[in-house]
Amino acid sequence: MKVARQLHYPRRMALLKIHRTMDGPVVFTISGDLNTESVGELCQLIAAEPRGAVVTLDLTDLILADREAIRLLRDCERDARVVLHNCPTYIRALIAAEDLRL
Amino acid sequence: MDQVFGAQLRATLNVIPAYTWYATPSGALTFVNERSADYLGLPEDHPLRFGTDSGAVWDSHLPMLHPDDREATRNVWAECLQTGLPGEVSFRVRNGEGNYRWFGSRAEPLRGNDGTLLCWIGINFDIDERKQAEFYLAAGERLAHTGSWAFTPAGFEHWSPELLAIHGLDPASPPPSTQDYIALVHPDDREFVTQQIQAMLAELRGFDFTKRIVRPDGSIRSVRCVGTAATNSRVVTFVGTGIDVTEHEELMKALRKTEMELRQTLDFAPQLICVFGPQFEPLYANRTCLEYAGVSDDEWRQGGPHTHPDDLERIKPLAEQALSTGMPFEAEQRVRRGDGSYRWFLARYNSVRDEDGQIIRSYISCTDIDDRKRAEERLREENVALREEIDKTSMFEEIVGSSPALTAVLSRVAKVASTDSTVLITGETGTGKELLARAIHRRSPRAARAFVAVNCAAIPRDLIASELFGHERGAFTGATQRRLGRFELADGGTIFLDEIGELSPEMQIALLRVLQEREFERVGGQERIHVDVRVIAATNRDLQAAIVEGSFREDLFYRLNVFPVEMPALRERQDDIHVLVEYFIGRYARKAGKTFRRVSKRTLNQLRAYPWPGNVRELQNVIERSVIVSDTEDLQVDESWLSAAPRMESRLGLAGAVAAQEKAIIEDALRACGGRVFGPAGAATRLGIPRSTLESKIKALKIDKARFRMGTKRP
Repeated sequence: MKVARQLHYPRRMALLKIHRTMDGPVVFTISGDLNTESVGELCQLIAAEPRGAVVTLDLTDLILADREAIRLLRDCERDARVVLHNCPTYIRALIAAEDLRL
Repeated sequence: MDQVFGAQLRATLNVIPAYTWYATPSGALTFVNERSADYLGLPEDHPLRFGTDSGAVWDSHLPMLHPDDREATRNVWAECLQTGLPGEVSFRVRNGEGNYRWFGSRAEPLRGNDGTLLCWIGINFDIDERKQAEFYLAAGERLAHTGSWAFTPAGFEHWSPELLAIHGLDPASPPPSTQDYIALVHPDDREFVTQQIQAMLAELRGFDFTKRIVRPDGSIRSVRCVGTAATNSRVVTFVGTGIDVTEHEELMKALRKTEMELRQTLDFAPQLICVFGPQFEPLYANRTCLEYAGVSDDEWRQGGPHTHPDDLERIKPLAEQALSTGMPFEAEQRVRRGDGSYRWFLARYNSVRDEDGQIIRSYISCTDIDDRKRAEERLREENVALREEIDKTSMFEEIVGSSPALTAVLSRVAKVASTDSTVLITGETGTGKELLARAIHRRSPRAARAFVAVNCAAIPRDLIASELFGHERGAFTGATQRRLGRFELADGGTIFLDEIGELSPEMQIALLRVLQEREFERVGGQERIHVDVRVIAATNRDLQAAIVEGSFREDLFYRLNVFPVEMPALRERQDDIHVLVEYFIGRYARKAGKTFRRVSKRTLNQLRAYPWPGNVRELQNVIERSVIVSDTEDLQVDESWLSAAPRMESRLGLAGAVAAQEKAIIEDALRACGGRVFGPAGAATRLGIPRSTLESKIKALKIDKARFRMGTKRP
């Protein structure tokens, strides 16, 4: 019987794709992992939208979000900058927990 | 000579501020003036002071001279006496203290009106300093193998003794004629030397060339001739030197030969070797380097650095530190090839300094390590994939069991494992399809390479292409770096495509192409990437039914279904339940720090009787749970954990609870009937309701009939 061993190897880069719809309301479909490294890119995309425009983030295929990502989503939603669509229950719970932390 | 004339002559000679004398017509020295007498240290009453005949003969004065000079003087004096013509000679004369000085002496015949020789008058000039200088000059010439010459359009006026010696001639001989000189020049160099002399005379310019001469003894020497026009001469005169540079030429020849051999050695060296000057200006690159860079020597000198810009940035601080400390250093860097691509090299930098510590040369030697770097990169990626696999909690156990159903499967697997054939593993969830895939890989020739698993159902549709095939930087928003896909990671190894039935139609087409051609492009890329990968796929869906539905491609199915293997459900391996229980107890008890002596027969029977819809995974969970809750040495299994019917969720409400119950009953019936709805053995008959009623309930409760066909998906 072989037993799994704890080995330390560099983690593979998380996969993320952000797809923006080109017509109608602006929807960013987030697929994959949203983490500290990729949060900046999402911020830039949102900031690049016209002032006052509300952006929808479709989180159907969001697999993982770390604390930085949760904070971004919370802050953008609070500023009415984004609307979270198909938000996974655990993401909603984490956002609520972040609010309590404040 | 009469007395009066003699007295007048003596008085005249005494006032001349030089060393004068006269001799009889026969050559006997009769008188020396006061200066000469004082030099000779003659007493005041010596006959030579007064011109008194002392009985001397023509060569009586010779003892006053240096012994080495007497012979030459005698010869010249005899010539004069015989011919009656003036003569000159140089000799050393001993003074009163016994020291010698050089004098240049000239004798002139003094004749009367009728031509009768009255006497010989002579004058000696002190040339000792000049002679000393000549001596030292000659010594210097001798030591430096350098001789001097003087040339006019009429020919050579002067050749120093050393120059004569250099040419193998008697140092005392006169300079050769121009013709004789040319005859001394090596035949291959004569035309050149003749042209140089002609140009020198025509253009009144100096020259500096090296020629070969052939000495009278046949030996060949190299002589460097340097000449210049004399500026203060009324006649066109050239003066110069001739330097025997034979040894120097031979040294230079040997040095050139050594340098040539060294260059050839460097040219044949497999490394890229470059030499730079004090300001890091390019001086030399060996042939390997020039061929690699695809440039000529001149192009290399004029071109810029061939190092990758990213590596230049990284290496710069290392180089600066090394230069300041004078220490050599190494760096891995990419160097541009002639076709524009880059390869990795290990560059070793070394510098040579002069006495003041200033760098005079820098040497760089680059060894190709590209293959090693790529192997490292591949290993790193394989390790990353491996790490992700190891992070999973349940995938490294061997397949446990010896039931006939399992043994039959393992026997089939043993046959196909050593081949490269694609294997399609089917079976209910939790039956160990991935374990089997790993077992196949471990028993294959690819066991030493990566096993890369992909859960096609767990990856969002938008990302599956990137996950499988990788993407280039900038291929889409979020693609911040190039990423290798799973197929590339598995190159040389095995890729396990789990839940292959969940692939979207677009991905099925892409996968089919890869399976057919073993090539693909990364998302956003253009380069076609070839991989050598063994494919194992798995699904708990009925792919045949999916083909009928239109949700799975038939051509892809036949590509995958080369060697189908079905993992039996746990209920078909009842003989293995006991050993599996023991296995899991051992694993979890060790973790929990508990000891269990036995599993009661009752418990075992319970476990055997349970249909295990979740198969081995469910059994594993139950045992782990049991280990946690058991307080005694007998393993306790809660019967409620083994209920086939799902618990009612009280939150559903009455209608929801009824619907859930109805659904469970219908699904059980369909399962028991192998998915058949109508007919004597169908679920409608089993449930005692009309077929149409059952069909409508199936539709309303969103039950997937196909799952319950033989070997199909279980909830």
